[in-house]
Amino acid sequence: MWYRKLLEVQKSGDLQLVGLIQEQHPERCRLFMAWKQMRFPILVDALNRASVHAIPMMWALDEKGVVVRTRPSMDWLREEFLPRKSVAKNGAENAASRPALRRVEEGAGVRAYLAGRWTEAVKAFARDCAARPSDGVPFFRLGCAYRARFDSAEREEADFQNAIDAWTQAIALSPANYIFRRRLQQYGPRLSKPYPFYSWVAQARREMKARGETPPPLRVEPKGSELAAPLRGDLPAASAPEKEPDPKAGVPSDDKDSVAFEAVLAPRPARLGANLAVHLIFRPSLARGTTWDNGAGPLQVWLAPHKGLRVAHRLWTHPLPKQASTAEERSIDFELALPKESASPLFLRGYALYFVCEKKSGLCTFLRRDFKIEIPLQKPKSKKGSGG
Amino acid sequence: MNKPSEPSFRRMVRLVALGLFSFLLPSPLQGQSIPPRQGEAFPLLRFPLLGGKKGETRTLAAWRGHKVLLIQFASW
Repeated sequence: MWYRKLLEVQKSGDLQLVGLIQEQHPERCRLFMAWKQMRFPILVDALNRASVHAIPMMWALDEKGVVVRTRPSMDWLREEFLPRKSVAKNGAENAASRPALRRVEEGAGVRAYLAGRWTEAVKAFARDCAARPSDGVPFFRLGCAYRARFDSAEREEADFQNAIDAWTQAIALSPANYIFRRRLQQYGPRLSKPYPFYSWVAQARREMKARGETPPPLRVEPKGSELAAPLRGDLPAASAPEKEPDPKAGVPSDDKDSVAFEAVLAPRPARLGANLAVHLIFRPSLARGTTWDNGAGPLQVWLAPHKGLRVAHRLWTHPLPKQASTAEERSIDFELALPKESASPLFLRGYALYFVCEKKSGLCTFLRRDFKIEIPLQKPKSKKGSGG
Repeated sequence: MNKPSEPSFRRMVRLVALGLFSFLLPSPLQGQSIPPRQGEAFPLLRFPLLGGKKGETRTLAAWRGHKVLLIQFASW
C-alpha cells in the first residue's frame, strides 16, 4: 500500500504528510484512516477548491509552501527532495523569493458551505451557475450543497435529485474532471462504476472490532449504488418468475402520506441505450408519528416498466430490521436499462406496499403507494461537434 | 488561385512574434480551474480538518518550515 511506502520514505528525513480529500461524506475517510492505521492530518475539500481534476494526486511542497514537484515518485522523494537543503532556514520567510500566491476567489457559496449553512450555499451556488452557465465548477458545488442539505435535518423536497441534476450538468460541461465524475458515479448505475465505492466499510468495521477498536461512526451510511460492484454487460435477468403482490390493487392507497416518497434518477437526464440508477426513498411521516410495522412484513416494490425499459427484477423487498418497530428512511435501489431508441417519453410505473403504524391514532395499516416516474432524456448530440 | 508565398524571413518573424505574444498572454485555464503547478505557491485555502473540533480549519501554512507531501486521495 502507498501509505506503507511513504512511511519508509518519511524515515529518510523531515517530511510532513498531509491528506486532501474531496469526498462528500468525509467521516467515511476517517473510518478508512482508522482501519488502515494511517496517521496524518487530513484537510477536507468536498467542494474541490484545490481544483483537482484527476485522482490520486500528490504535491511535494518546500518549506515555504511552493510546489516543487507534482506526482513525485518515491525515489525522487527519498533521493532528491528530502536531502535537499532547506529553502527557508528555521522557517524564516523571504517574501522577495516567494512566488506570488495564486488569487483564489471564494464566493458566498463556499463560505456558507463551510459554515454548514446549506440553504444559503444552495442559493449562492445557484446564482453562480446562472452567472457562469458554461463552467462546471459552480454546478459541481451546487450538487454538493444540495446533497449536504439532503443529509441534514434541513432537507427539502428533491434535494437529492437536484444534486444529481447539478452533477450531471457539471460533467457535461467538464467531462474530463474525474472528481466531478466520481461524485455522480457514487450514486449512478453499476455499468459506469470503475469499482465499488464503499464496500470496504463492512470489512473495516469487522477488522477493527477484531482488533478491539471502536470504528468511528458514520453520519450517513453508504447504501445501494454506493456499495454495488461494477457491472459489465447486460443487466442480469430474474432467475425465477416473480409474483405480483397486489395485482388487483386491493390494498388501500396511502392517501394521507403516512410515508413520504421520493424517486431519484442518476444520471438525469439519462441517455438512450445506457443504464440508469433509480433510488426510491421512503420516509415515515414525522408529523403523523408513523413507524414501520416490522412484525407485519417488509416494504416491497413492484415495477411495471414501460415498454423497452429493462430491470433485473420486478419485485424488490427491503430487508427487515430485528426490532418490531422502527422509523428509519428506507431506500430501494435498482438499475434500469434504457432502450437504444424511443419515439415517445419513457416512464417507470410501479407501486410500493408497506405496513405502518401511526402513533396518533394507534392504528396499524397495510398501504399502497403507486408511482409513475418520467425519465427525462438527454438531447441527441448533433453529428457536427460533440458539445461536451 | 494560389497565394504568392511570403519571404521565409518575414514569415519566421511573424511566427516568433505570435509565439511570444501567446506565451506572454495569461492562459485561459489560469485561475482557480487548474490545480497548483510546479513553481507555484499552493493557495492558502482554509480547509476543515478531518476529525478536528467543530469548525476547526487549517491552511497549509500550519506546516510552513517543513517539507510537505500533500496527498490527494479518497477512501474509495
